Amino acid sequence: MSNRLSHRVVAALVVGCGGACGVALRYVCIASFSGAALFVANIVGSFCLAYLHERVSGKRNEQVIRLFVMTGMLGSFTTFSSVTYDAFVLFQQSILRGFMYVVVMTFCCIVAAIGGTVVGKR
Amino acid sequence: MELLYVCIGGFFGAIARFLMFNVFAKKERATLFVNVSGSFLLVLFMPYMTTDWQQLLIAIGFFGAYTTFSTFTLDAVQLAKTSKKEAALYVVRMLSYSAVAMLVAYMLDSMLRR
Repeated sequence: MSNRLSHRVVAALVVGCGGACGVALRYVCIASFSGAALFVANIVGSFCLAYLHERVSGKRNEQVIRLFVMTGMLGSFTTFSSVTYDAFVLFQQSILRGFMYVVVMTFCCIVAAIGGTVVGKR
Repeated sequence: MELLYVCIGGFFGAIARFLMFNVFAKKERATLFVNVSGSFLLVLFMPYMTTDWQQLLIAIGFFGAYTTFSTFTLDAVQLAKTSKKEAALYVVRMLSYSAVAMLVAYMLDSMLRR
């Protein structure tokens, strides 16, 4: 195996391990908050990712944070497919509710990401 | 035991997403693709996931990790630094494409059931 390829494989495995941790954390959130869990997970995750992104930008040797925490853990802690599926279920009851759910979720998470960027800059 | 299913799904979901980020030249394109395709597949397969472990492994684990919300919002904030219009367009695109994906998956499913 060439050096570059093995580097890639290790990177993918690190991301995978981070992903497993992130999903486990989200699952624990779902178990403890039920209804609002997805909101909490996505907002907290968006804030943390933006914060870390601001912190590591410009630095080159932060591979573990980048791969394990950012791409793996925070990427998997937050989720888009469950939001779509929840919206899908809501759409069948009322189109307005499904629409509002997605818009409010997106708005809150973008505000959280802006907040993370601002805090990370300090 | 439940946590184990979720973790295994998450492990592979995160790797699948990571590979997609290597396929696309632009980071935002990859996020868009991952979220839209993940939403489509989840809505399509959800009616067939009847047992608990299938939902834990595939719905919460795999597709939960494969799609991401935090990267999406970070992309939007990053885009807004250069162009507010680009960022708004990106958010609208993400939401509308996934809504279309959801509808297509729903229609495909009801066609297949006939």
